[in-house]
Amino acid sequence: MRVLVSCANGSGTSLMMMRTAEKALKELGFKITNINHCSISEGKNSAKNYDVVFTPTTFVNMFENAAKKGVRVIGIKNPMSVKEIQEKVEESDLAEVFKK
Amino acid sequence: MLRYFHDNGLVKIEERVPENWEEAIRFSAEVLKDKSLITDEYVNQVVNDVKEYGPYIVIIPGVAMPHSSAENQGVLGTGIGFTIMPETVSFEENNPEKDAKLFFMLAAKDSEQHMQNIANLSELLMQDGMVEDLMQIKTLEDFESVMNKHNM
Repeated sequence: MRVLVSCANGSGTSLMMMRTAEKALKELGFKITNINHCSISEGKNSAKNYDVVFTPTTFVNMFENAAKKGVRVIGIKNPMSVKEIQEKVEESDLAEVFKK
Repeated sequence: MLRYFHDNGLVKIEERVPENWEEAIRFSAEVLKDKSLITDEYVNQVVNDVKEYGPYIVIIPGVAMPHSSAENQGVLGTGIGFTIMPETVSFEENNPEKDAKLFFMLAAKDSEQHMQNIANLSELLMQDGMVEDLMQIKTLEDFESVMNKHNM
């Protein structure tokens, strides 16, 4: 599964959230083939090359185009919460699609 | 990580009560400015980002991580400055989840070192009881005792 983590400027929150997402997904048994973090402006263009995007809740609507193309866009409130990411991943269809 | 702040002179127990979140960010920048890791140009960008995007820099209730693009001209070096405000600062009206008292300002010139700093900061904040203990700090002696208690 290809994972992108994006925040306003790509140097603080997204980096922290990337570590959390990596841990959360590995614990759930996902195989991550590629994980990156970047700014929203960069992410808007590159999101289509990923299977899932994690981003602070306020930025979810920036990824409408990617979402239309089938990229799962998941808004996260707490960039350090493994639990929150796991709960939201479990609410999505990611396990169905990527954990075969 | 607490030792890192302590040994590098990157911790400050702020005595002035900031009037609003913007002033709090400016106070929290002083530690990094004193060490010539950032300039006001960067601080202004951090403030503008919050105005534009909202208080997403409050990463968990009580904890703010002010930062902006690493490419900003005002970023001169790499480090995290830790400032403890005398009172909780509100970022969003009627939303106590976005209040903050602990400010960790980021400067990220060297991306590898920054990656390590962020990893250390995550670990610090995930430590059981850490945020609660940091909230109680009023003096440098308090800080040292929290540092020794958690051995971090």
